[in-house]
Parts: sequence; C-alpha cells; structure tokens
Amino acid sequence: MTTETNFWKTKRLSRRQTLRGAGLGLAGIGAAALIGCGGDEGTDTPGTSTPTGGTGGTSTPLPTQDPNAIQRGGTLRYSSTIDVDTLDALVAQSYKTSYPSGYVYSRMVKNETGDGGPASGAIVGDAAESWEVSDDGLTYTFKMRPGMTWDERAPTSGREMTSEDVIQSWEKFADGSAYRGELVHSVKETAPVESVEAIDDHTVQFNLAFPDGIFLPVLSHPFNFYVHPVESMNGGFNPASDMRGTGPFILDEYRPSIGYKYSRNPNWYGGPDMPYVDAVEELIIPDQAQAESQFRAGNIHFGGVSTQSIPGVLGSVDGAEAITANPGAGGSAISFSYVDGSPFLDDRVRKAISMGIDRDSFVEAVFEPQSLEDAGISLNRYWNTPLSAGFGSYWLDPKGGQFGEHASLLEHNVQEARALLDAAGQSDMNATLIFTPQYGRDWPTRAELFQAMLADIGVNLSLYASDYTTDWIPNYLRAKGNYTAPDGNPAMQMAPHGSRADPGQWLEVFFASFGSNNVAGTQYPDLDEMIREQRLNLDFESRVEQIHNIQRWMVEHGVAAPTGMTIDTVSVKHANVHGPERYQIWGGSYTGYQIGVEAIPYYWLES
Amino acid sequence: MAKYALQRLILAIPTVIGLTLVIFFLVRVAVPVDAVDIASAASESVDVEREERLREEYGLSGSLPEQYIGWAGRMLTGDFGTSFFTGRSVIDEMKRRIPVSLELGTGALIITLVVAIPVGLMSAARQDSLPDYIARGGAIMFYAIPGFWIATLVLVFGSILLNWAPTIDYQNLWDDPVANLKQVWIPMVILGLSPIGTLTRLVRTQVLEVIRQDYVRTARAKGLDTRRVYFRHILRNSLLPIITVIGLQLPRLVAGTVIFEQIFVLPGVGRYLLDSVQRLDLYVIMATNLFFGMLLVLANIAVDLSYASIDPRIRLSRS
Repeated sequence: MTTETNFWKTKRLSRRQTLRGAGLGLAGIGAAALIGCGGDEGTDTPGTSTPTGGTGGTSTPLPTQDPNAIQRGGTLRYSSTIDVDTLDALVAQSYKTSYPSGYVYSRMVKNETGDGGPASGAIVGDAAESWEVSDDGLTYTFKMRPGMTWDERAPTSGREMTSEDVIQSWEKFADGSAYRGELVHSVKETAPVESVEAIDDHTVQFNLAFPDGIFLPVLSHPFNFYVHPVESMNGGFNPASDMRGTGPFILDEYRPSIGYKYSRNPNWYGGPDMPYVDAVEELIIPDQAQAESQFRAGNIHFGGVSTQSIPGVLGSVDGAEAITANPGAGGSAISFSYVDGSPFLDDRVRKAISMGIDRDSFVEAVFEPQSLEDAGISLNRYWNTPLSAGFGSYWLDPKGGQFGEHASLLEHNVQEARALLDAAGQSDMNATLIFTPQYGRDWPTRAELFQAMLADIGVNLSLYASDYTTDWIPNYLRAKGNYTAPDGNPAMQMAPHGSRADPGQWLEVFFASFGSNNVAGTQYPDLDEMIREQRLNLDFESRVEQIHNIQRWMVEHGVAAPTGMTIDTVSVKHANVHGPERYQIWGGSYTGYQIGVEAIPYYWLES
Repeated sequence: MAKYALQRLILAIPTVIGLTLVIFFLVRVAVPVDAVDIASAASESVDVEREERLREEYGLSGSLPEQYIGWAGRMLTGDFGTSFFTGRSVIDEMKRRIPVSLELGTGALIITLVVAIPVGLMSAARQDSLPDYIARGGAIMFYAIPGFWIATLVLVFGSILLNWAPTIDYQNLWDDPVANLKQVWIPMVILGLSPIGTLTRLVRTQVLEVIRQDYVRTARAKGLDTRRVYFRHILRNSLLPIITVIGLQLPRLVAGTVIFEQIFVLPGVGRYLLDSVQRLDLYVIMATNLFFGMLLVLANIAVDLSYASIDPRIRLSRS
C-alpha cells in the first residue's frame, strides 16, 4: 500500500484544475445530467456557486411547483420494508440507517433534489452554508450554516450547531462507522480525509491526503457522514434509539418492526413553509400482499406495490398514477474464477460468455416491460456496461454509437461466441454459475436464463444456488476470484454491485485490485492505473472521458460480463400527493416516491 | 401434588441445560460462519481492524467452550447479550416482544378450544349425520389449507373487493385494548384454524371411544340428563390425550406466529427471530430459540401437572 500512498500523494493539481473541480459539484454535475439524459428536460440548480467552492440549501418551492397551489398540512403515509438496526448512522453496520437519518440529521453537503425531470446531481450545502477549496485541492473549509439549531427537546434544547458537533461526530464516524473506509485515510489509503479541525465555532476544515475528484460526492452520500449533536456522544441521550437533529423532520416515535413517526421541524433552514406536510408516517411492512392491500385501501400514499402488480393497480385503483425515472445506480455482473488452470484466464472465453448473453431477451423475460407498456407507461431499456446505466453521462451506452468497436462484445452473437470458444479450445465446455437467491426472488430465474442462453454457444452450464450466510459470503463473496465450484467445473459467479456515490468510486470499489469490495477478484495493473488517474482528475469533462475509456477497456478485456440489464424505475402513488418525482444520489435518479427522503420536505397533500 | 410439581421442575433443569448446549453448538458449530463477516457484508466494504474489534466486543474471540460458559454465565445474571446489528440488549427486546407473541398464540389457542371442543362433541354425539359430515369436512379443510395462504387471500380479496385493509398500527393490549384487538383478531383466527381441525377430530375420536363405555350406559340408565352425561362422564374421561395435544399446541402456536407476525406487521418474537436468522445475529437467534424451547419445557410440565390433577391415579402411582 505504500506505493499507492505515494501515488495518491505525489499528484498535485494546477490552480485551473482545482477551480474547475470545485465547480464540479454544481455546474459540472448539472451538465452531467443533461448530457446523460438527452431527451428529458434538465433542471435548474437551486444552490449557487463560486469558482472556489459552493453554497446551497433550498428554501423555496421547486420551479415546477406553483406556490399558490401548494397546500400545507396533513400526514404523508407510505410503506417501507426497511427496519433499521440502529438509529445511529455513525456506527451503523448497514446503509438502512441512512433513511431515518436523512429526515432528522444534516450532512455537511447533500445532493440537490430533483424536480420532475432528471435531478441535476448538484451538490449543495446542508449543515455547511458554503465551502472553499484551497489551490492545491487539499483543504476544504466549510462555513457552518448560521442559526442552525438542534431539536428543541432536551438535552439539545434548541442550541446552535457548532464546529464541536462536527468534530466529535467525525471522530465517532472515523472510529466506528462501517462506511469510514470511504472517507477516512487512516483506515484506507484510498480514502481522502486525513484530518478534520475546527477553525472557529462555525468553521470546519477538512484536510485531504491527496486532491480527490470525488470528495464532495462521497461526503454528500447518504450512507456516509452525518453531523450528530455532542449530547449523543456524552450520554445526553442514546442515539441508537432516539434522535435529536437539525434536519427537516423531528422523530416523534420509532417502534422496531412497526414504523417511524416524524413531525415537521419548524426551525429547519428550509422553512418556514417547508416541509409542507405536518407529519410523515413510514410503516414497516415486510409482506408484499399486506403493503399492496394498504395502498389499494388508500391507507398509504405510495410504496408497497411491486412492479409486476402496477398494471393491475393502475387499472383498478381510482387515482393511482405511475411514475418513472432513470434506473438506479446499481448493477450486477458475472465474474470468473481465476484459479490456476481456469479456462476463464483466457479472455476469449470471457468474451464468448458475454456475447452469449442475449441482453434484450433478458430484459423482456425478467422485467416484463411489455405489461407495463400495455398499461400506458413509457419505458426505456438499458444495458449496463461494467458501469451502471444509472450513472448518467458517465455511463457509455453500448447501443449509442460512442462505445466503439468493442460494443460488439456486449451484443448477442452466437456464431462469434462459438468461434471464440473454438479458438480457445473450449468448445462444449462445462461450467458452473454460482449465485445466491437471497439477492432477489428473480435471481434463480436469471441464472436459468443464462443457462439456456449459454447452451446455445456450447457451454454446458450447471447452476449452484449458494446460501448467503453459510456459503456465499465466506466462500465466494470474499474469495476475490479464488474459488472453485462444488462440482469441480470451471466456476463463475453472479453478484450485485450496490449503489456508490460516484462512478469512479464504483469502479474502484468493485473492480480495482485494491477495491474494498472487489468481488470479481480482478487484478489488472492497467485498470488500476486508469482508475487511480480518473480519481485524481478534477476536470469534469476529461474525467467523463476517462471513465468512458475505462468501460471500453474493461469490455475489450472481458473483465466481467455485465448482466445488469434493466428498465426505468417505475412506482405508483395516489393522485393527491404532489412533489418532486426524482431524487438524485449522484448519477442515479430514483423516483422520489420510492426512497426520496430528501425530497419529502417538498411533498404536499391535496385535500 | 406440590412434591410432584417440585420433582417435575427439578427434572426440567438438565433439560434446560441440554437445550442451551444444543442451541449454542448448533448455532456456533453447525453454522460455520463468522457473524462479523455477515455484519460487514451489509456495508459492502472490508475493514479488518474494525471487524477484529467487533469480534472482541461481542465475545467471539475465545474458544467455543469459553464462549459457551461466558454466554450461559451471563444468562444466569439476566444478560442475554447484545444484538450485533442494533447494539440493543436482547433481553430488553425480548421483554417487549414476548407479550405480543404470547397474546397471539394464546388467543389462537382460546379460539381453538372454544370452537373445537363443542364441535368435536357435537360431531361425536351426532355421528354420521349431516352436521357430523360438515364438521369433519371442515376440520380436514382447516387442517390442510396453509394459514399463510388464507392470510394472503384475506388481504388480497379484502383490498380488491371491499377496498379494505387491516389495521397495522400496533398498540399494546394494556395501552389500548380495542386498537390492539382490531389488529390482532384476524391473525388469531387464522392461526387457530389448523389446530381447530386437529383438535375437532381428536375430540370426536376420543368421545366416540368413551361414549361406548359401560359406565356411560350406566349413567344414562340412571336417568342423568344428557348434558351431565357428556360433560361429567364422557368429556372428562376423554380429556387426557386432548390435554396432551392442547398443551403442545401453545408452543407450536407461538412458534407459528413467525409468519403471521410478518404478514400482519406484529412486533413479536417470531419476527425478531426471522430478522435475526436472515443476518445471523447470533445472540438474538440463541435467545429466541431458548424462549421457544423453554416454552415447550414449561408446556410439558403443565401437561404433566394437569394429568395429575385430572386423574389422581397418575399422582398416586408416581408416589
């Protein structure tokens, strides 16, 4: 790792690069959404920017909302399957705590909320009112938002947020968070933050170990760093079971396995009008039939209806409306065992596997978009590259003409795939696909589809369904390419790649040899180098190009066979709910009605 | 009677110790997984130093016998450990959840008794009549149809045909009995259907066996009224096997709440167990299994004591 540290640290930026990079969070990212989502309308960025930093925080209705039409009050109710393990995001094992934290706590910066069209992905201030970046890109100085007060209930009793809250929260995050490796340099040398210090009561400085093009996106990501009050760390209250925040809502009640009740925070900086609703109730409903029956009966405003049930619900529930958005920034891939003697060490075999997959048929079979289209919903279909299609302009559409000659390696071509296998001496090869059904009810179906498709190119594929806890995690997820199938066949595995704050971070986490979750076990020095280079680049446009080139390179070398083919995200809501329909976690838009914690202050209910 | 009860309680001690051993070694040895690995997998990142610290904190770093002694020793002081994921005390969580599951299980058992005993008696009394056929057919149907399927049908057809969905904002029985029962009665009834089928048939069979005994004929010949004959002579003498089944139904019903707590959004032990199994939250799995095991042990003791109470010959023969 010493080499890596040197690599990260020896790179320095020109002032021009730094200034352009600082604007990345605003104008650049806004452009990203526009480039990536041609055909859809873009949005204005509500925050403002300066060449050396940014500001943010919105306090007005979104542009598409008519202020005169907005009605205040009411209780917004929706269903969720997410029951948190703890309310303390600074030590949580899982991303799930980010949901209640998004209601109650503030982060230093956050993503701009979308507004009907694709969200811009701009980064705006939250606990920080503004920030400045040093010339060398190594110091970010955040000015805290003045007058931002904690919950009026004891023990915080409405006191003002100070730098001390940030410092102590950071120390706790750096000590115990499951996500500390994303930001804390002493934990992982690919993470940027070396130290955090208070300049005065309302100014905090983040010192970076190297200039990092993705520092702000990662800092803004809802999984990562929240500012908690010092009272949560000195015994004033137990942050695992209670919350005292500065965010748009106040947690009134959390009952494990039942749900959350929030009321609006009248002192939120986005006020005094927002949040528009008086209260929010999130009901934890793990059973699909129960959740759908609650929606049908009008007991919840959105959530709980599976994609497959949407046509039926639209046809039978008065006032039910469909909403669509770009796919989320997640994906999956088939990766290969690289043990000695594995036929997958030969890139021709890996490419043949990729070409054996009929991606269009897969989309039709797994997501059944036709039934949704028959119900009047307009949908797009996407092929992931090694990068998720949810990453907007960073994703290089294999069918878009810009990918180049290697796009053919993602196209279904039985003849060419057979020729590649013949050339590699692997005609009629046996192989085993390892997967775990715990990743989704449709995963066995996906595996069976691949089995049938690969049979056409002469691969006799056996399927092995692995148990997530007892088998998958110890033997395959952590094996980094060094695993064998139980039946002795050459092995492949199918694994998901979860959402990340930034596309470059995604590539690093899942495909760099030093990645924190390199499930594929890829060991390509050239790829590592490209991934490092893009991360140090603060110039938006050239970084987009670098990430495009990484995708081309990975497909050309058959690093993994991307299997995250997908369609737009679809959900339903009742017609009396109004608000922004999309929410952005960097690059990936989500329908606000699914997980839009940050969008909820903008929702209003029509009486 | 007190001496007999004491004997049964003392005999239960080695059973409970055996239970803790089985639970601990099944979970820790038969499932060869590092629970901290599972916890870390949720965040999709590897942090070795943090994982080592968690193993130390949660008492997973010593040898297995040491870990067992530590766990069992802490349980004797009322400390059932801490959830890896929530950081919350397992015993506190169990205290909140046990009443929910017991209410659901007990309610289902009461519904079972209220329906099955009279129907079984009636079915035997009117053997091979139309009501008997209906009762027997119904019993087999209730026994055969899975409860979770009925529950799903109730939800689906309720919402589609009647625009109705059950209440799911759970309130404690003691805080708001009306709101509580509004949510709980449907799963109680559905949970009780399968045991109604079993018990109805059992009562019918037992009563038919006793009804042909000489002493029943004698009682009738003496001119006793029918109700007295049935409840004093027939039912009481049919009770022993019925009580065995009833006694074993309670733990079965409470354990059966897992799926119903999930469907009807009830915060009971079953749901706690299900969540913990999915993520291998060791101390929660062990505590919830111990709870279900203890319930079975206690039910067995209760059945034994009720035998002795109903039939003095059992008590006398033991002494």
